[in-house]
Amino acid sequence: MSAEVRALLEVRGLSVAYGAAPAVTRVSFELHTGTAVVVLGPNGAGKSSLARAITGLVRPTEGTVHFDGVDVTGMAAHRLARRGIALVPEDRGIFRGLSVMDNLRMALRNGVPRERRDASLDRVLTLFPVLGSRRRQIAGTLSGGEQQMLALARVLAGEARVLVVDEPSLGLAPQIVDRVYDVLRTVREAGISLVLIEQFVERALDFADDACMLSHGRVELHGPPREVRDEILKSYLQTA
Amino acid sequence: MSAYIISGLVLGSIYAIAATGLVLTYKSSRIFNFGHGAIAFLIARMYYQMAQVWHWNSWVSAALSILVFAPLFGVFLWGFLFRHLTNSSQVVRLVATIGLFVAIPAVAQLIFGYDATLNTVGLAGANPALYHVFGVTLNLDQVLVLGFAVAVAVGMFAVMRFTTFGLLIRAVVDSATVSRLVGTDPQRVSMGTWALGAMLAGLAGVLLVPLVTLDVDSFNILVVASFAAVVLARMDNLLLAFVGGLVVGLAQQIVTKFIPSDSVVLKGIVPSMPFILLVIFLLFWGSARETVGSRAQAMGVNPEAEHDDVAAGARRRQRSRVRSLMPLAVWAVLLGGAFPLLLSNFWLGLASEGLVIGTIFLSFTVITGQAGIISLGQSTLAGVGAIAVGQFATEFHWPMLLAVLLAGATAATLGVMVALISVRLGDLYVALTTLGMGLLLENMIYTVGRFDNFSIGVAVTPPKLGPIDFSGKIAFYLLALFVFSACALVVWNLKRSSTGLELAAVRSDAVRATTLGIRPWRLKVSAFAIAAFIAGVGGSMLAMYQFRALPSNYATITGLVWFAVVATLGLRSIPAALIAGITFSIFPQIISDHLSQSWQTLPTALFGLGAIAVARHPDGVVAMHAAQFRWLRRKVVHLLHHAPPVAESVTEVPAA
Repeated sequence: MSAEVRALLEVRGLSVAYGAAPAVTRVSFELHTGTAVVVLGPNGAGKSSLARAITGLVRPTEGTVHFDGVDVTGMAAHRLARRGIALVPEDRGIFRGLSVMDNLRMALRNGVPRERRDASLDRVLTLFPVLGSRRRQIAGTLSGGEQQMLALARVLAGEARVLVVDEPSLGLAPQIVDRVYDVLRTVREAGISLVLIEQFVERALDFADDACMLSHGRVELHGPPREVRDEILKSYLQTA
Repeated sequence: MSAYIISGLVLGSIYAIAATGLVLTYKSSRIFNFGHGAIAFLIARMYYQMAQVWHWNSWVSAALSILVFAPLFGVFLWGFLFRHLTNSSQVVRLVATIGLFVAIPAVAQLIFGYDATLNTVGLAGANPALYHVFGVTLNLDQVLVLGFAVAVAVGMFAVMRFTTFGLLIRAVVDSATVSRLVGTDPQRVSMGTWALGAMLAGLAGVLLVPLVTLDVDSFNILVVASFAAVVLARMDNLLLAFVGGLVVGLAQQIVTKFIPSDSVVLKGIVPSMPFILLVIFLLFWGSARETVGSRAQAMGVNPEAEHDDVAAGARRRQRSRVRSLMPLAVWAVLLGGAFPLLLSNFWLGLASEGLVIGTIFLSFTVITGQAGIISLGQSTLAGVGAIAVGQFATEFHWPMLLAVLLAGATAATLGVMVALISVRLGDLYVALTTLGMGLLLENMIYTVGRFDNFSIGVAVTPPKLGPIDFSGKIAFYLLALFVFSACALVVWNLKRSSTGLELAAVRSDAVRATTLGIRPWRLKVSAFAIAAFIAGVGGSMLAMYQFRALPSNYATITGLVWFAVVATLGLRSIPAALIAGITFSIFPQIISDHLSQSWQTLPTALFGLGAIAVARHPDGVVAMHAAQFRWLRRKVVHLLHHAPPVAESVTEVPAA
């Protein structure tokens, strides 16, 4: 990426603390349009806290987040969502008690102009045909893979520009994980930037354009996957 | 029969509308609004002011009250109170809404005055048209009640099912976090539901105007009766809440058909029906538990206060014995020496009443402060103690000490029975059960001729001990001080005992406490028993102070004001209970001495507002001022020693 091109998302020296306990310490990275950065690290490394801070669910104690050149540090989650920063949390982030259709209606309600809502809905239902056949089903009764699809469909329907996905492969069968990554690839090709929080190291490194490894809340390794891959794998083995 | 059914449907429609509003706001914010009846009263009083005092058209008045004033008031309450309660414990939420219950009617009376609101006229005007349905004569006001109930049922179904607002409510109820993630501000949705909830309360209030006396007690009792429907709906299902309201109204009217009209039982059972149903529904939903809040953070207190307690305990241990006893000595000199010597007989009498009420308030310190349970029936338990002491000491001529102890034991037995029904169900259900129990006993037991004795009660004379006659002002004051001190010692020891530690653990996290081998259920029942015993003893002392055991002096609604006073000053501290007792007895007298009659509800309004302030200061005024005093002392010490400032620890604050 050329240095002159302004990053879509700039995270600078971001720190998060829960009371006196630091969770993330001075993490920085940039994300350009249509690219993906993967954030790796063992349990408790601060990955989810980083995701929550970027998407406004937790207020950072230090540092800044710039989105499209605007400082959005500490902005409430619903405002960030309306601006186009979406999070698919570890537990999928769907309305389990609502129908599939109501989940998608909720996503379309914010950020998608009324005249484009039908087209957006058609687009995601084409991408995820299984959801089309289950539109009246209560989301909580879908299988794990289908719930993940719904979570991604919800983000795509909402026309997000940056998607933060926390552990998308958690608890899913390998073939479903393949499907999830296919969708993520489609998402990226559609021009949506991705922050991928993952423990599935090899697959994530194959997918991403940039990699960032956290340990005890700090960035331990950062760079293009081809350059840091061996060190990350070595570090993972040591941690294990 | 059709007459009973139709009148039951009319009454049930009011319950249904009130219950729908309650469930709606509970669903969206997890706050059960005890002030719903008070809001209904306020809107109804507003309507009365416009329609009958200012002589505006009744429909215009109703539209302005229900469609303009009510939602604005709902939004005001949301902005002023409810949005700050989002992360509060269930107990703090309940205390704050009980504050509304107490404050709103008192403020309304300060605004609108105390003139009797007689000949209230409903939407149909002074001479409503009459209709004959199935051989039953209905007036237009009653027809309008039925019509509005149908409109509310259909309207709510349509709103929830087909509108974006309904979708947003359902989404926020499902997950506030995911709602934020899709760009919806849950607080705005909550604001909308509070506006709608206030409109429904207002509608119920305006429809009630021609049916009952326009006074706050009638309104509160009627809305509290709808709690049975809310329990049937498990706080969640709007349709069941509506149907439940109709069932309660029907049951209340149909029962009158099967009991002779001259029966003493009828007098009690008709108003008690909603509370009998409340208990039945609670038993029916025996497995129902609160899904949110019951395992929330520390109950009735904030976690920081728990930490402060531990820190204060450690500090106390480091102090010398002399320094530790200093505050106690100051209290002893002030209460034991200065008050009897300095106060006139009149004020000493009020101070005695304050000590007696402070004793009852200690029961709140145990049940809510230590066990983290909201019991709204402590005044009833005190009333049971008063009735019992009247019977044992006066009717059976037993020694007073034995009578007082038996009065405490009687109240404790009742407390255990209520606890056995309710504690497994969660905090909110305990509050509702104890409130229901209070109103049930008030209607069924308080009215028994043997206890009520033609509204003069049973005479209770303070005892004599050798040459000391405790009927004297100073002697009774010292007796009241002794009883308060004895009960305070019990509470203090309970707090320091291993049981107190276990209660703190359960209050903090019942699930984790269970993993340590603690049995929360048994502990809570024990706490109920101790608190009820103290309330019973306090009640019998109050009977002695008043020279009679008159049950109506221990009304459940009065108990809510008591609760508001203790919550304002601090539910966890013994001095706070004492100060609350003395404040409750002396403050209204000070107001009455120095302000005109038009300010007579000011103390109640302030007590209610104080309870509302608990939302910001969960540990009450006494703890807040103690903390401020400690802060000031630290600053002074720091200035004197010129030490460098100590940085405050930075805590993480959630963004939304």
